[in-house]
Amino acid sequence: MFRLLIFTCLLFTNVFDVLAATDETLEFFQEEAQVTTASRRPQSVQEAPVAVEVITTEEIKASGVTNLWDLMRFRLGMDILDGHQTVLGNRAIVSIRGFDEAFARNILVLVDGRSVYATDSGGVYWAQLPIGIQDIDRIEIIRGPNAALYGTGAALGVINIITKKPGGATTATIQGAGGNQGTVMTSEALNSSIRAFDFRLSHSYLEQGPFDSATGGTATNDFLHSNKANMRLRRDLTNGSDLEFFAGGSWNTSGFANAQESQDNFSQHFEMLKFQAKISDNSHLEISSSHSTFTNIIDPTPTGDINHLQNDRFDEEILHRIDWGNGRLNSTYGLNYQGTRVDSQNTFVGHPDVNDAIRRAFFNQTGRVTDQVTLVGALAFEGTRTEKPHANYQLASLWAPVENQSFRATYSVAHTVPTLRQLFVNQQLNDSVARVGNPDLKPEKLTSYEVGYLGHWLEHHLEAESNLFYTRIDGIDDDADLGPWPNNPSVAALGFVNTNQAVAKGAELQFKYRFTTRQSMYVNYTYEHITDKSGNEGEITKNTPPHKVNLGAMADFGGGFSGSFNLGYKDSYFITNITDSVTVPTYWRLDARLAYASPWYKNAEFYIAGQNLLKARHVEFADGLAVPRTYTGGVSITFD
Amino acid sequence: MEMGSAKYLTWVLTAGMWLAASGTGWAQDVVAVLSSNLVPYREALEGFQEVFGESVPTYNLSENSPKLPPGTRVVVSFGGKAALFPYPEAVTLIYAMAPGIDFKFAKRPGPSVQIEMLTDERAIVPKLKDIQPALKRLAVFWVSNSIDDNVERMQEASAPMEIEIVPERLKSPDELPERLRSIYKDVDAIWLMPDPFLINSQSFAVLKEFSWSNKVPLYVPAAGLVEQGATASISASFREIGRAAASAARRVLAKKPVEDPVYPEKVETVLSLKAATNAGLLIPPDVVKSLDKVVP
Repeated sequence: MFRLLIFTCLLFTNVFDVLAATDETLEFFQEEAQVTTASRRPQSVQEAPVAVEVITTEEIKASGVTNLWDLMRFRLGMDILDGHQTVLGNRAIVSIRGFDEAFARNILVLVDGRSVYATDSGGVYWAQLPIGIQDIDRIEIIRGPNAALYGTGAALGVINIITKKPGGATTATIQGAGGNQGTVMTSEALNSSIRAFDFRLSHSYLEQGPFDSATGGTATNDFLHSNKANMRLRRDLTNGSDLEFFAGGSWNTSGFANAQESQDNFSQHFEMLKFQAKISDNSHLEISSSHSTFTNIIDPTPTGDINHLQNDRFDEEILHRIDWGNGRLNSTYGLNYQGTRVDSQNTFVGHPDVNDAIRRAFFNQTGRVTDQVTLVGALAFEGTRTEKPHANYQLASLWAPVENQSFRATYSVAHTVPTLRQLFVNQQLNDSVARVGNPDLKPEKLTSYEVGYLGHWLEHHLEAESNLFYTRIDGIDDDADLGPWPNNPSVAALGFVNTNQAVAKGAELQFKYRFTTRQSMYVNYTYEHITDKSGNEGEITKNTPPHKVNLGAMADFGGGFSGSFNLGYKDSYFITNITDSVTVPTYWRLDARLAYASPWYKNAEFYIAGQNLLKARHVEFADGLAVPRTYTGGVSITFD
Repeated sequence: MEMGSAKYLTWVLTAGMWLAASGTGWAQDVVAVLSSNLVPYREALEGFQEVFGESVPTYNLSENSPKLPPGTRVVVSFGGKAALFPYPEAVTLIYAMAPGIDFKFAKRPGPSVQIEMLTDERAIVPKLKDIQPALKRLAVFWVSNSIDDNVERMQEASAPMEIEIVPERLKSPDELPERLRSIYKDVDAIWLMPDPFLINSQSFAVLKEFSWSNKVPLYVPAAGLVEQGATASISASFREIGRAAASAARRVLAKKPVEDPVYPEKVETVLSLKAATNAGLLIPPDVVKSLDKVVP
């Protein structure tokens, strides 16, 4: 292992070439930039009031991953657990700053600004998300509370997946790949224009065989077949305004890990209309409206009946950004409405159709007090049908004493409203236990203090980032014993009650070094320790690895060859899912990709990629499944 | 003294005094303001003084705020900070060396005239063709809204020369590596707009490295960047920009119409032989001789 690291570092340091390009002309442009930067709304990472990381198109391509969640696996502060039963629709667990759980409600996932959580559980069904990896332009990961801008669910962080914008020359891309574990992947994408409309159409198909059992190593029935299709249509209007229509869907079939006869059919579709208008150079308006539907049919369930569940959500938002005071003051404000509905006879016995509405008004103000100091304040009021409006707010100060060096201090209060399941569930889980919702359940309240540093050194070749955070969550739900279940008195009913409190303390450190545009490497370290009042081990505490270290690099070797690797270390942790629990021992994971660009056709690339290369299999979650070593090989061709 | 000679002398003295008085009046009517003490601003100020011919009160914002003498009619500013200073509405602002500022967007109360940093696009394109006759597809990089018009003019100027402009507008300089990777097999050269939001030491290092490693010439809007590794610059010198500001100031004072924006007249082409070689260009000797400056 050590030799591998040394070799890799030497390989990358061979191309080390620091370019010192500073003279009076560059100083002049940089001085002028100080005047214009303040008048632009898209912030650079250096100016953001929270910790932000961007996964770029290049990094996505170089990763060679089969599954979306693996793009975030080696990122600072992130925790990815694979091996959740596919049948539950959420084969991966993605967490930011800990609190790993099957349906993480405290991170908000957006695709082109549209939230994609399931309205019943509040979690994200990663395997079923109607988005193909080939469509992703970049992923922005915001670590830390941002509910004052994004609303409920954004208490621990936000993952914003941004797809490729249509436009430019007509191109068509096809990809095909196959590998062990019965993996088959194909995708097609077309980017073109007709008259004033730019559009992008894409489709992807993925077939993955079942994972092995964590104990015996034999294959389970946990297969996944998935089709996804997307469309993005855009029309430029006058003076920097545009209108976009997004639509897509996914259709998936998966098997039960331990029931050969049962399978689950998931389907999702969405439609979104987004209008962006440049009112003036300093004023920008966005209006968006979207509808998402998610259907899950288990036929038959292991007990023989059929389980049907449908989620619906409507999102409407209007947002205005304005820069004033010669660009020193930037304001963002808006209104948001989310209508949520779930229909399931099995989950909500007796009253299958439940719904709620979340209304939010938000305001964010950034003020550049001096050339070195910027203050940020954000306030949002958010309420539901069952809960009076509560305030989410954030105060941050950024201090940049010298160019390329900034320090940040942030104080935030964020709430996560209860899910429809927590409010209204009425479901028998097994022979002895039933779940009953609590309509009086209060939102979880998350209070966070954070300080951070971001610096660029050596002519921007080196980026250093460090964060310390302290987070307290009040009102976490504990189980409440409700006595016999009214629908079947022989079964005990468990409810929800806001009695637990947890505290998380952590530190993050990352260095990224860019040798050239095509050679870069990084190393990061995350520490986190979580305690709670109720001693809920496996669900609140001990399920987040205390120490995580990741190291990776990507490089263009010349002669058409390029490659990348990511190596991660994770401390031991203990995790629970419903009735199962497991202590996951310390493990290393290595993912790598090697690609070769065709010499006879410039846009054809052949690649081989592998995940979890160091071990034949290892356990990451408590569902009795082992994550296998996988290899894939394929070709990607773009026609233009 | 004869009566005729005395009358002649009187006329000469009167005319001389009037000219002197009026000249002094112009100098008092004009104030120059610099954003800071950086060499480019000072060079532009020197160019201004050469043409204006008289010394004018000069302020440097990094040292003190300007106190305009009563009756000031024109402020000539060098740099964005100097342009954005809140001058009285009655004052005509002639602003130079402020590539990120365009008062067509950010309204200024009072008249203003912009001195462009970029020379007329119609002068740039033929010179690019001289240096690189095989140029067919030119990627143009910029970020700021205020540069949009320049790109459109560049497209208009390139069409007759059969050069296709590939517009590459970025949301931020962070996008630069990805965009370069996506276009590098499809363009013959890169033109960098004088956009302060794009040009910094990091982005320039990326562009230079890209140019040298992929043999794609990099053309820039300031000669100083050629010294740092760009292939060539086609631009007005900072001194020439100052001269253009002086000419505009004189026209304003004389109440003559002034075009907005004003383009500096003289275009300089500076080429780095080393960078050109690294970018895969073989420059014929006659072309080298025709350039204003050649960096070995």
